[in-house]
Amino acid sequence: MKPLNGSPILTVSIPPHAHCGRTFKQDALETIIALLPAVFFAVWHYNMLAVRVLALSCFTAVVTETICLYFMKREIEADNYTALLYGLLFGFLLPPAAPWWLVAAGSSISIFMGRMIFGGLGSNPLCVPLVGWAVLAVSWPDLMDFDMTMLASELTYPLSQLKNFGPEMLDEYSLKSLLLGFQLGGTGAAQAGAVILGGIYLLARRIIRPDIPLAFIAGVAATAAIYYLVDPLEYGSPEYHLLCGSTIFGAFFLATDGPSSPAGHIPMLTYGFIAGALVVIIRVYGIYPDGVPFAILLANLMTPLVDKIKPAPFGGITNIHLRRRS
Amino acid sequence: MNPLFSLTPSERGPIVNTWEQELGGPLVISLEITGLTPLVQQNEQVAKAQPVANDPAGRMPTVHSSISGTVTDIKKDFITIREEGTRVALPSDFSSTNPRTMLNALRENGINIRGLKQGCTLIINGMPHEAGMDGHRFLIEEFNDVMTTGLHYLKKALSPKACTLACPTGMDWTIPGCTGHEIIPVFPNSLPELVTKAITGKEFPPEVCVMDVATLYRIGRTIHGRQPATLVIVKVGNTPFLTPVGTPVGVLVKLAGFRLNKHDRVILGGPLTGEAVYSLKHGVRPDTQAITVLKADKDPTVKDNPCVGCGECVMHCPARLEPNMISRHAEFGLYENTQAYNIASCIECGLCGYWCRAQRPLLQYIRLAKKELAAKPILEDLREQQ
Repeated sequence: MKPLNGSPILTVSIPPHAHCGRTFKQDALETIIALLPAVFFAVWHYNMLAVRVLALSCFTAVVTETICLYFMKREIEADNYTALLYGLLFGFLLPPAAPWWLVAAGSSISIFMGRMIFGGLGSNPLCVPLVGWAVLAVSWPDLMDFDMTMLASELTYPLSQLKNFGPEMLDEYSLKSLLLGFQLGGTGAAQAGAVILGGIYLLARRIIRPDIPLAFIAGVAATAAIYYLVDPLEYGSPEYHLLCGSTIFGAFFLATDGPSSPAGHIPMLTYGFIAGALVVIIRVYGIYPDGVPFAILLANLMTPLVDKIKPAPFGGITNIHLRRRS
Repeated sequence: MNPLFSLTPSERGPIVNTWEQELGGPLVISLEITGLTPLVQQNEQVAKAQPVANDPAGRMPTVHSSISGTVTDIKKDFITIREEGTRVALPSDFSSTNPRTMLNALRENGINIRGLKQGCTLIINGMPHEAGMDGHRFLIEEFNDVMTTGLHYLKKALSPKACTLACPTGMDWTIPGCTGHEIIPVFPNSLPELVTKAITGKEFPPEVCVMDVATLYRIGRTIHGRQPATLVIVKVGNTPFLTPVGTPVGVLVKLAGFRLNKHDRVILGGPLTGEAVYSLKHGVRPDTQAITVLKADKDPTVKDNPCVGCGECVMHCPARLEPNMISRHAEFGLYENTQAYNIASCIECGLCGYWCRAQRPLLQYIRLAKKELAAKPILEDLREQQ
């Protein structure tokens, strides 16, 4: 293009002209990086089984999103890594021995029903991977049961031990072994220590705010502590509730999902605490040993309600004309 | 802290006078006259401080030529004048004691008097508007007598209940006749609404007028010299320039040592609230305090991405609004709905767009909705007419 009057062609933009430099593409990439320790631990424990589940889940998620966008006649946005991230998160929740069709079906259901049907990126009212998880958990309960699918493994599923045999069974798990992932559970979600590392990375890089994870953990710990104080022989202690199953994974990676979680400090704290409390309540009274996915789904449904807790706006003027006249 | 938000004034450097610099030819100024009626014709000789455009409706300030020269071009929005000769207009009369006439005299001498009310609490805003926009430090430290003259005139015209000078913490700036108030030097604390809140403790109190310290200086200079103040201090990068109103931004940017490439941005004001110009011939306005140059590809640019609900805008909004929801409604033309989210409380600081991870033009959506709403007739007014 020829310059006008010898001056370079300037970009005209709207204020603010500066930007903090953070984009959701970068956020998705950083979250995937934060998940990598857990991926390595999963591969260490389950070898190719874990690789198979995670890779297939990621692949199906990206392909499903691309197909949906093609039929919606929209720009293909596989390059922003969000579908890849959701595929990975979904893979984290599945048992490592899940059959391939279950992984593929669940991952595509997640993306299609959890995300694309509501309009794609940023529109999901529920945490995307949990939608697929919920469909699978209700439709194929046997295949989603870690004890049933992982009979070949020497590891056991502490939460179903707790549910079926009482809290004294938990004594055989040392906290260190739980942190290192010597427990059955979701492929990556059970790697509690590695997931904590990833969560700390997210907090340190300020990808997520600490409100939701801390409130979630506080909710789990407080509710579990109440039960434990009432009857230590009947209910598990808080540290087991935190380290078993996908509690930490839910706190850092699922509950903090942007579109399905509230905005604002007090709503975030309320939402996190409700979700955390629901985890223990479902574990105690529900039929599902690991209450995290359903607890977060229920909390997601409360998000619009929790979002109503907001401070009064500056000056509280509702009519634009009042402002103009003053 | 992010240096972009630090309002602590920097050390005072020497002021550069534009007319003492080698410009390679006579200075050509371009005065912005959007919404005004031109008072001169092409090829007419104008004197320094001669009015060239005014508002027949009597609301907007009159624009004066800041140099003596020849009108070379008149467009809808700009008058271009080439420097020539040393003619100076006759001095104006400021001897009236009627408050209304006094304010009108200010308006006719190029001071924006909208929002000034009788019997108000007058707040002189000495905060740098944004990081680096601290050129007025020179004015307030060196020209205290001019400030006093301006304040004296304003006090007579407005008879304010109280006068307060807002200055950044640690600065011992004073103006005689003003109480001082220190404000934490972090953006957006410099915005008039938040300065008012910090001083009075009230949000949008009706009887408070906030005036920028540079405007007060221009009032004082106008009264003192009995002619419109035609020089402004504009900070370009780290260099403060004393320059005639209407100096093209290209001249100042070049003198400040910037080399512009394609797709760079030149902004009148700061990077958060300023206005990007489309041509280097755009002249600085009387109220311009800084010119910011942003290099291309430095920041992510605005896109029409969907909101991903991270909540950053909500948590950074000083007006405690929900820019995410307002922008979602405005995006689809549902401007009425934005009133339910108290869009009128927005103070347009630009922080929502700065923090938006989805790179959405949040402030633009808010301004669009405000404009559309303000253009609608007021229901109460229609009822009154019937």
